[in-house]
Amino acid sequence: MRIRSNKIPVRLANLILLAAFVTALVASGFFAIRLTVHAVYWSSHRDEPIEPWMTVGYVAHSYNLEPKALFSALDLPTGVSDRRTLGDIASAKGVSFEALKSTIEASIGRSRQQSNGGLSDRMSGS
Amino acid sequence: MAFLADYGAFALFAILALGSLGVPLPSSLALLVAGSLVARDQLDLVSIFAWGIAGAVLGDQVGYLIGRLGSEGLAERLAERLHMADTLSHARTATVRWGAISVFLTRWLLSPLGPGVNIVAGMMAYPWSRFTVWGVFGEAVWVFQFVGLGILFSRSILAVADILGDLTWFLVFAVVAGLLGLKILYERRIGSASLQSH
Repeated sequence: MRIRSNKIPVRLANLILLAAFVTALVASGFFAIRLTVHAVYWSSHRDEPIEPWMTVGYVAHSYNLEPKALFSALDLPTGVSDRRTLGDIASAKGVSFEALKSTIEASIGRSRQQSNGGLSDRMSGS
Repeated sequence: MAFLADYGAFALFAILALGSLGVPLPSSLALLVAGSLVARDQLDLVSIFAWGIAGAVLGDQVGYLIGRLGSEGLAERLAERLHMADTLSHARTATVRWGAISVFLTRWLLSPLGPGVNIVAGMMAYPWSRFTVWGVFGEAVWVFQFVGLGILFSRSILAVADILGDLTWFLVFAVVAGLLGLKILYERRIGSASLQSH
């Protein structure tokens, strides 16, 4: 009695098992490739895109710069600890975040050119 | 991420609690960001660890409870109807045997499987004390690992998040493929023998 009810499900179960196995294998292969691509990509791109939630110190850290340079570019006092986010700073200054962002990016560009003669530009272009 | 910068450790608590319940939130990324904020002196290390682990463990416990209370007797009734009492008892034995290592590893190494394992552990009535001990231990490893990496690579957390995400999913699928492969080999080996015995 049991044999009849079991035989087909066993074959079907084996098929499902094999399909699941192949799927898992393909998926792990996909992530292995993605891992490699990301590792290669990120090894040449370190700088995070500037966003409103970041503080000046955060941006300076990400771009490997002295916070002082950025603070002075934004006409902010350099000696004191300022942990406001860029979004807050923009609204306190009455400018748009985009305007603030381009000021910062211009300042980063200037500092980079001074410090390593455009080395990072060449790296990010590759 | 803005949420995390504004509300700090408590935001981390909420994100990890929901994340370990299975809500698709970038919990690992939140830990990396928290680590990088610690490195920039914007958050306190001890409170990040305490709130982070507490949140993750809370989510695990709720998942376990849902599995346990939500399926009260359900497994038995289903097993009886489908004539699968043997299968159920096999599953229960396997849960007790492999439970500790599964709970531990799915906290940090194979974290995408965590929420599912919580519910299954509850359904299979895996001993709560063991679930909790291994769960806390595993979540502590996870929080230390990701906050630590966030501190170390605080300049490039997005890169680290991408790479760790890929690595985690690769490991998850590789482990699943490995287990299924073993199962297939095992079925093949006993296949002919069991056919004759039927």
